[in-house]
Amino acid sequence: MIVVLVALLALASVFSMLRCLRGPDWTDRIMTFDLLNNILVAAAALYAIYNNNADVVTLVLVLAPMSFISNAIMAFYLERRKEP
Amino acid sequence: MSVLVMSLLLIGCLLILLASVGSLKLPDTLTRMAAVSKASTLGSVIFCLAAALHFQRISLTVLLVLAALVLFMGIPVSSHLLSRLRLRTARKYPLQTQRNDFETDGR
Repeated sequence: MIVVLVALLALASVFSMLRCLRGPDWTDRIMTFDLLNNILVAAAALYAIYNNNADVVTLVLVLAPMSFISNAIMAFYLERRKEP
Repeated sequence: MSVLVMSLLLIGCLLILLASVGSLKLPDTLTRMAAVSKASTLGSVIFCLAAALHFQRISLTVLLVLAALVLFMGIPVSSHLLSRLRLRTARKYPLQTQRNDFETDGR
């Protein structure tokens, strides 16, 4: 069962990396950070549940604001650029 | 692991896979952003709910509810910032939508 869940998450990350490689605009690439960060949160929760290890739950709390911070900073610097 | 936690994990994995397939197959930046920002956020929040149901400790539940609140608040704001940025470069890479309310809004 755990193999199926990890395989689904790995397939999702491969698809988002393909979009990150292919995307025609910079916003397409930044958008995939969001998806990859959500996959990381899911993987941390899955590791904590499967190994019955309660310390890893803190990692979820650390990873949760990361997508907002990275996307906001990237949007800020792309908006300051002169002519896209 | 109980059956409830297992089914929640499976639902979360399928939602995240659906979001990534949507980000790969949809034709436009704004539709891709809609698919990613809604479905994957719901998937990770379902994972947080599954972890809270598995451990059943009050301190971990508080931490996971805080993480879910941060996810629910942060991702729409950053997605809105990115879609505003995308509409500014709509001439170089054209969008599928014909009308652009962002340009005629300030007049």
